Amino acid sequence: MALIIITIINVSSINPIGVGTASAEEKHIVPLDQIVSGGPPPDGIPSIDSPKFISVADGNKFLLDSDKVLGININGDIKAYPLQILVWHEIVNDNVGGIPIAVTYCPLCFTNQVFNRTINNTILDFGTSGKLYNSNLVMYDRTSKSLWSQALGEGIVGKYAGIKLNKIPFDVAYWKDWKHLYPNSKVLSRDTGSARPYGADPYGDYYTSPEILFPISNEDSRLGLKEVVVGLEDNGIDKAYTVNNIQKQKVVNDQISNKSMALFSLYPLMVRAFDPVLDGQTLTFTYNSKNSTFIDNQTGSQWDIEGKAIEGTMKGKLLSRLPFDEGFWFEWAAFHPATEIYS
Amino acid sequence: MKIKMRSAKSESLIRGALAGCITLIIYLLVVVITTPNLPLLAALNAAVKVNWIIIIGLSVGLGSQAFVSSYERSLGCRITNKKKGILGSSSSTAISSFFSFFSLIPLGCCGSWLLILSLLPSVFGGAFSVFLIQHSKPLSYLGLLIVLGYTTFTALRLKKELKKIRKIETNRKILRG
Repeated sequence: MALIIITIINVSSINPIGVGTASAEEKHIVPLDQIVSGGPPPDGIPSIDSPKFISVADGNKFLLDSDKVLGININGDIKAYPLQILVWHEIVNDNVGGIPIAVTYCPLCFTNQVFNRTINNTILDFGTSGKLYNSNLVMYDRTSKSLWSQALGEGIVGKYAGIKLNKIPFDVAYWKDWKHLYPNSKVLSRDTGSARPYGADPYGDYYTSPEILFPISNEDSRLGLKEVVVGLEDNGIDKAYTVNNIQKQKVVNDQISNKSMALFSLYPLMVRAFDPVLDGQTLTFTYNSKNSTFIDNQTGSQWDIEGKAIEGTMKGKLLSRLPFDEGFWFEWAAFHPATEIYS
Repeated sequence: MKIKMRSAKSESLIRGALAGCITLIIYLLVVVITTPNLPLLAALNAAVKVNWIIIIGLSVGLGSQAFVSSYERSLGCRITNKKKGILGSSSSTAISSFFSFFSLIPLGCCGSWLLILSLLPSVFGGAFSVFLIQHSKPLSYLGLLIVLGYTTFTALRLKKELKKIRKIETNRKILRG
């Protein structure tokens, strides 16, 4: 026991790269006293910086159908990042479809987020800072040592404080559905360079138990704390949509502020948001249960889950995907206290 | 003899209570140190909420063990091997505590226990580490069961010895009378 205490004190006090030694003079956009240490030093939870990928067939050797993956499709480059690997690393610095991206995952808030790592023509590498803001992952970039909030997708302390990262649309899906949709997808390998107990989730039944064990700012009882929501924002207006709700309806046509959006869902957990304005026309959609497609009410064209028109006058046209936040309700409400809820 | 036994008992009780308190304090201290992201009371509250059976069980178990071993020593009995007994109970307590700490991971993203668990494969190998993490709860209860079982066992043997001592005392009194 004493050995554990000594080890932890020693490890916690190591900060060789000067991350998070923020002083009051340093540029910051959140109160510094609300950025707290989680215990480990910077990079104590190591990011994956040279990810290796395997085929779906090889992924099947360690992934169960019920395992969750974070999936990305950029310029036809399709990759799946199993959450059972991300839970031990939280950040993957990767290049997908020629775009440098950071795939991030905060298990406590179930926030998945993918960012473009390029800021002003500089490609940043992200690591875990060992710090938390509102119980959410705080990343740091290895160039400027600035701290970044994963939930906000924004620099919070240092040179890049106030700078927002560009979010990239992604999916959270069950492995069964992902491999069915993308049999040629690449899958993040367990060969990460770090020996970790992949396959064991250290958070146990945390995801399914209704309570949380830590205090949160702005507890909002309108939804269950761990209800999974997708959050969208436009012009300072925030809106949360429960994934359950979208799954039941299959399609949601809605507006935030004056911006229209359409949300599609064909598979559990997997929600996609699209900009329904095409050629100056705002489309609204209805689910077509006959062949699991979506029909727009304006032209009667059929659209697939990729947002591509596959039949009708719009055939060949593509809706552009909108990035959003996905995570537990308590986290969305903590970061967006004035949020509206779609009902 | 009776006065001697009574004083030995109260002294042992104090030792037992002290051992129980020290166990409790060390456990809670580890919780506080490993969850720096939480305010002190929130960390303690969460740990007690999740692991109250282990915390109370280990404190009572180790306290009782200290009481029994102190009492038997003061009476000149040698029921248990002192070194083995203390080592066994302490190891079981440490193991039980260690596994129960795994349930503190949901107290903070990127927390100390996530870091400690990350290091398990370098000690136990990947597959066994997965087993330990997946079965941490039953393993912590198993450790507690060993502590309580050992304490009960030694307490019962002490009771038997005390009966013997009392019988000898009564026989002596009869012979003197």
